[in-house]
Amino acid sequence: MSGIVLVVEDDPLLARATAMMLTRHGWLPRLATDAAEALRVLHTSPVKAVVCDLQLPGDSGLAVIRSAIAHPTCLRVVAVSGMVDNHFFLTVAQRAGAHAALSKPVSEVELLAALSGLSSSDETT
Amino acid sequence: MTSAAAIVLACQMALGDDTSHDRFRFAWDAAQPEPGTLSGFAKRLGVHPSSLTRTNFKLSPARRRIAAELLGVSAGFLAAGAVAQKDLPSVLHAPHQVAAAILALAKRPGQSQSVTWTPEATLIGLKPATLHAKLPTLDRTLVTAVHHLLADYASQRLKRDTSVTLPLADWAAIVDLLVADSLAQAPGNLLHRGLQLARRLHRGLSEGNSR
Repeated sequence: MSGIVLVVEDDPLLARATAMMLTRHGWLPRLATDAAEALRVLHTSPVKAVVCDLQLPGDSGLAVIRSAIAHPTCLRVVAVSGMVDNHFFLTVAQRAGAHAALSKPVSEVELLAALSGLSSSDETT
Repeated sequence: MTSAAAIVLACQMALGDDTSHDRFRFAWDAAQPEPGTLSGFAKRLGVHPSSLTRTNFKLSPARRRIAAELLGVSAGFLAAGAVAQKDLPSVLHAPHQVAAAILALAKRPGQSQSVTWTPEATLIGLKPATLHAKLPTLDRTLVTAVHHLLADYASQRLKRDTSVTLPLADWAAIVDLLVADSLAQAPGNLLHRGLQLARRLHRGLSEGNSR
């Protein structure tokens, strides 16, 4: 799978590293550092997939996930989190509609598998 | 006029939170017996003074009878278990009756302005006007004073930990309902009260299951 992938991450280093990793595998990453910016990108671009951190400044990643799953071109939504009680919040993300939920740090293999929908067990905590 | 000490003890008794030492101290303070020290009183009873302290309060039935006589109360008032109505000193009759009436009211559904799930929350939510309307024959000042104190105890009780035994699947369903409700009400808010309650429940269940 390839196309525009929206990476929602407020840590700039992590955002850039994720973008570089996705670029290497043919994706076109767009970066957003908070939910408001992510929703603007979603409304203006034919985003094919979203990789979204749950803990963001302002509204959380859950708001982005719920918009992303209703987005007509978006096929995969991957939630990531490094919070305390990660298992709970990642399950909440799946309850909100995320196709996959990954604990930070996320490996390249895990992220690509989650984006392609090939992972046998989407949740890694 | 009913003393503050009588109101406090009556409320504790109505809630079942009183001890025989609480009742002994109440009777002691009211009677001001001679000799006026606890060690002197202990000597008259033939017990060690430590037997009259809160943590170690213990009197045999015979000594309890003597103590009750010296303090001018019924021996049943100093008993270890629940106290019968007939053993209450007269100063406790009115506040105990008021406390019992208010607690009975709080246990009936639909008394509070808002929906509540515990008698404690109902008690706190009872408006003075409702209380006076529902308990018209009781002394208004006493009703207000007793209600204030009971509400204070209720708010302390609401903060206490409590254990409820339910099948794990039911707990999981409760977590799921809380999460679903929270996502519907405030989809972007990780600090939503429902979500935070669900998180705490989930953590409790996870820790419980790992033991």
